[in-house]
Amino acid sequence: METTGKRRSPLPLKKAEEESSDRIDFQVDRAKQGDLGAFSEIYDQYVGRIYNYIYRMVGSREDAEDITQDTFRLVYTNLKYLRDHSHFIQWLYKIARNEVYKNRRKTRVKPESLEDSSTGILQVLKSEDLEGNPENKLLSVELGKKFKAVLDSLPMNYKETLILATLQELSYHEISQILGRSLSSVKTDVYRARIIISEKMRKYLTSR
Amino acid sequence: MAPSNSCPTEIRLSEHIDGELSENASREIEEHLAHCEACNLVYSSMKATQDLLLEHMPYMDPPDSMRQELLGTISQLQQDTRPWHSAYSLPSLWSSFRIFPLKSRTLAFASIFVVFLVAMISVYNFQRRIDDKRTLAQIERIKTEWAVQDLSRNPFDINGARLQLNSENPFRPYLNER
Repeated sequence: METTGKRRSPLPLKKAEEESSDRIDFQVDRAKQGDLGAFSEIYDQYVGRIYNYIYRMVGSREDAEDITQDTFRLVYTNLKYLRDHSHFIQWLYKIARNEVYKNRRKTRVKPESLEDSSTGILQVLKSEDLEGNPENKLLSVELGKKFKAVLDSLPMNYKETLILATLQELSYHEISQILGRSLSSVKTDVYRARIIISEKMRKYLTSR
Repeated sequence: MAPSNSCPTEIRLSEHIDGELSENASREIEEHLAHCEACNLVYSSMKATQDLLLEHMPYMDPPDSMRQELLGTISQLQQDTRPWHSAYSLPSLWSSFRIFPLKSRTLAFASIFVVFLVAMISVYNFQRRIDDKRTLAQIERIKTEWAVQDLSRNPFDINGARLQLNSENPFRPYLNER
């Protein structure tokens, strides 16, 4: 049983992508002066994180692309107002978050409920032989769908906090700065999100 | 095994999953998990959530087309937000001028220089003519200020000349003495 408390990194770790506060400071300074090359470097460094965060929040590739572009456009136009370069990543996430919420207000996508998709899986489980690999693969795919449905059914603040802590590998302190909430509130939300997901997945799997 | 008073809180276990605890605190929790079934159950359940997240929401590379589109838009934004006079600034004029071949550029510079020189000379001559006219006008004014009877053309000839003096005549004391 794995007992380590260290997170697995979902992001590709390359040496060139390691954040250096001096480098960010320099790039942001140059970008503020209208240096498109510096802004391109900033874009290349952070687009992966921002795109994945937005995609995980909205669930649609097309929307994620549009929102990512809007985010970086706003970053470019508002960079001159950024005073503290050391909090650049938090500022970037705040802009992305605002754009995600703006998009949500426009589209109002209803999350897929667990009840709607559960019958499909049960039928698969009853009709197919569960020993063979293709069926296990199918199960894995279906489990993934169910898991996503459960995640989408979470309250927005729980889902967001969990994604930022788990998938975006941000510290609780950074998350509290991005969301504008207290550290204890962030810890509680991450914990509650995990408990809700665990409970729903347990109920779903035991009902099979 | 039921949870005991020595068990960490479930929130603490959640923090441990995210690596938010200090090294000592993490080690203590791991030691506790090794012998506490209740905490182990909770921990495993939350860890499974973590694993599902990482498995079913993997990292995706953003499309390359997004980059080109965005930088194109920003380049356009830069053009639109530049002040109107910046299109005529020296650097932008120079960069527009540099597209022409060197011979043409030299000829153009030489022509501009010659035109500039001719213009400067013309302006200088014109200015001189104006100055001369002003000087002549000044002299005429001085002559009329001095009301002289039976004077020769030279207003400064005081020998034998009766001067109609006015208060501004600087030679008045000399004439009185005579």
